Amino acid sequence: MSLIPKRLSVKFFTKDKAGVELESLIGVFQSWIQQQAVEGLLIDVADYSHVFAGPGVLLIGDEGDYSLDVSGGRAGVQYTRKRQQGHSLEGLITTCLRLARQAGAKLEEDLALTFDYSTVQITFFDRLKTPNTPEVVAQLQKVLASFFTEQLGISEAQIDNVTEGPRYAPAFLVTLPQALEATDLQNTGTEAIQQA
Amino acid sequence: MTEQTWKDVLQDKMPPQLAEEIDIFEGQMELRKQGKLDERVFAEMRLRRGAYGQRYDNGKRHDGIETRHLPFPSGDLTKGPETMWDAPGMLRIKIPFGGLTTEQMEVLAELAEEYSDHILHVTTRQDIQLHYIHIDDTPDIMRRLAAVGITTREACGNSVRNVTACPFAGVCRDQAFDVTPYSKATAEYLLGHDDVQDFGRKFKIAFSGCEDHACGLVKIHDMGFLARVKEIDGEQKRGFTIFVGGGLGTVPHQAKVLYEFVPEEEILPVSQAVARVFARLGEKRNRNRARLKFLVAQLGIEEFRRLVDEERKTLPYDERWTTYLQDVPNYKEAPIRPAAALNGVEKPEGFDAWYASNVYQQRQAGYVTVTINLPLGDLTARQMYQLADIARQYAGDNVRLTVEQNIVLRWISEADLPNLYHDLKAVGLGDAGAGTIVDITSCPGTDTCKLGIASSRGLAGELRRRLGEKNASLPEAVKDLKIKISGCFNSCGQHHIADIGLFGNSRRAGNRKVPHFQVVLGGRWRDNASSYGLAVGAVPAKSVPILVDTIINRYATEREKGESFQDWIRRLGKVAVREMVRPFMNIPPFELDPSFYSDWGDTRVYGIGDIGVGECAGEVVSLFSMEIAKAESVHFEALVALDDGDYVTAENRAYESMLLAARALVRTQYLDVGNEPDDIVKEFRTRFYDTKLFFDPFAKGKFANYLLDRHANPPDEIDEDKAHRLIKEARLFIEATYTCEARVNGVIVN
Repeated sequence: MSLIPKRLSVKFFTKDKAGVELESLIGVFQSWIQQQAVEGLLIDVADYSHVFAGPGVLLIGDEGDYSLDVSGGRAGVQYTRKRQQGHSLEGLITTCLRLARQAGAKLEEDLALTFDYSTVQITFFDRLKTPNTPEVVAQLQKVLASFFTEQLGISEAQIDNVTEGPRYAPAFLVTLPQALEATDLQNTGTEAIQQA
Repeated sequence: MTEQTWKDVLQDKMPPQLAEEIDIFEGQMELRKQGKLDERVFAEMRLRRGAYGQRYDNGKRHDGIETRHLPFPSGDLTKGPETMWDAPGMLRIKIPFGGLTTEQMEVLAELAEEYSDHILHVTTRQDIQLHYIHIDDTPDIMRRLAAVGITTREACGNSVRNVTACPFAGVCRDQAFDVTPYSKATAEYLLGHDDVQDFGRKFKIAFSGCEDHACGLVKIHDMGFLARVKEIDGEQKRGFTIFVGGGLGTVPHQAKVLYEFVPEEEILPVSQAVARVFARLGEKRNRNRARLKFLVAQLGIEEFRRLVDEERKTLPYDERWTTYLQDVPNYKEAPIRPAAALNGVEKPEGFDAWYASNVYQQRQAGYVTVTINLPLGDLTARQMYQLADIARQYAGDNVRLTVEQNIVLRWISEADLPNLYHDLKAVGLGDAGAGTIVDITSCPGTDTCKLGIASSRGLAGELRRRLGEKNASLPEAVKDLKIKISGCFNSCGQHHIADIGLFGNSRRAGNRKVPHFQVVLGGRWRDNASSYGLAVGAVPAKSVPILVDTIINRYATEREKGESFQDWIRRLGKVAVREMVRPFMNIPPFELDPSFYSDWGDTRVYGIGDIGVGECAGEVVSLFSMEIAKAESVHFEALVALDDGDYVTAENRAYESMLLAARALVRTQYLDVGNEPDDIVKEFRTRFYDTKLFFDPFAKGKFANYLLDRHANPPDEIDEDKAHRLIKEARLFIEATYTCEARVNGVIVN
């Protein structure tokens, strides 16, 4: 069974202790649509700032969604790939990391937020292909270790299983020795989808 | 190696009929992709499976500067008129009477995570909606729902929508009796019933256990059932007052009493008879006048009643009318905790306010029902998991959705309340104020609805925030007022029956558009929504919060002792009410305050260019078109089976597709043909073969004989050749059916 999930989310947490005013994201994401400021077919903005520890404010796209996500009580910039996952899990992870990293950089410009690019949460949403079983979780952890070592050349990546319980989607917290730079995520040769 | 699919994994867990229906829908999707199914027919098929369009699905969106084309990857492929295949849509999930189990809650949470945006939205009809769904994902979502006993069938489209019921049914202190098993039986009986497939518009049904409260809202429904107990021959007999022809929409109608008392064993046949009259005489062409309320108004209730009486006499007997009644006396919900009083238990901070607004004393001593006040009807997938855990601990499977977009946990032992409150607070579900002025109902509005004119959710969120901040200091008199908001005049937010109702519209200021809300005051939520409010003027969206403050402050200070909001509005009179609103109707110039030219929760300069064609009315497609599409889907399955080398299935499916096509044709003349192959073939022969109506000018009865021969002589053994031949014959038979229908009825399909 392929380990490419229906949806893969990558999230870099904010460094800002004061929290984020989610409402300010609405205007920022609307301007991203106007300017086509990030990759992908951008459709609309969804505001869920009223729900507790939820998806925050989303920039809904066709291939994937960008968001300032506050789930788990920790705010962060998130990219969720939901379509056109491509042909390899490594390519999918690269795409998500790259687009989340780019969105983070853009939010740092637009809202003076700061993100910690040395810690990233990666979540696999697919109860069929990546169910939360010990075998699958171990496999995913192995794939991630291999990805950071072989694709990105980071051998000291620490990968912790942070899945909260047996029914939740497998989630991993990857701690890196240094911040991921945008340049680390280009030209890896694994991305299946090259955006226009 | 072929990868496992949800279809494989869940095959044995889905009810066979639901599984087959979903396969058929998947086949219809494939036919649409191949251009073999008309987009209008597919749109109605899709709607009847709960898959609804969403704003911008025509591939255009105004970004505040210009209207941009959205170049979806599937190009020009559509899933309905001006509805792009790849455009995100909404899936409406029917939850009859709002009843959920904890297992169902968990599956809903999984689906929100994997296919939607991690949000579950509770609607004003006790449904759950998932937004931003791709149509390609819908069959698997439906399978996963079917595996836990949930269907999306007929959640949208011109059919019987979710059957709603009072969420306190069974635990209500004032009820005549528990209406739950009756609402469940009605939902099950009418789901997919032949007599509800040919409506010009949707049809909504509600059940209420008592007259005085609002929970069931029977008077705003196409058909409403109000529980009654009547003494007949010295015996207490259960039954219902049946209302018909109620509805909100642009022009609200109060329902009329069809029958004062209908005994329980008659409610299903009467429903069926009403459905038949509506299907036969209801408007089909003008969707704006196609709801039952217009037919009842046009005919008058006496004539409508006479027609229903006549129809009832002609109904073929169906044992399901009464079989469910055997189980009604045994219908019981089981608490999972022993009843115990709250006495002496330490209460956490905030508990008292929450207890005052969110806790309802059940008729069963020692038990209460707790309402979870959801902001804008939303909760996250994570909260749904957590709520399932909480329910398991305190309530079991006794969970219901409400028409005020909340969730209730029933059968809570009073002694557990402090711990339950603590647990709900921990997951962000412990807000006080359920059913009060801060608990505002709103339809999706411009957030996702194609018809939305103004941002009802944006305004609702703003009002909730402002009123919530000062909730503790609000005068007692105003705390129980209801605010309900619709994004347009169609009333999905039920603004007509609120104390303060608002619906979106727009006004011009110079060369610019300004989002507005029409203010509707004095509607009555209580007494099953017994009266509607009056529109008193439109104010800019940005002025609504301050107007609401003004209204509630004046009511609090000017009301006489015990005077209701409705009575106060009536006493003020229209002129004075209008004068109260007038100062807020002004629009400042753009240069002075550009904020008036954007909507709540949306920073774009406001415009109405994104308003599309709504799908709530469904596509008015002939019954024949709907039924022949089923034959096409099954024929497609025959082709797939042939490719897979499964010749027995291929041959059977080909035969079945001919039966379905014949049935589609027969039902243009005789609705009650049923599903038995013998009956279908007999009627087809009598009506179309013996009369030569089916005959081709050259081939004569040749195509009809494909069905008649196969029906009379099923093959003993099936090989590839036989399967292949019958599939080809079935194709010709289906084509001949189209031709015959067009010739006989003058309807051009596709």
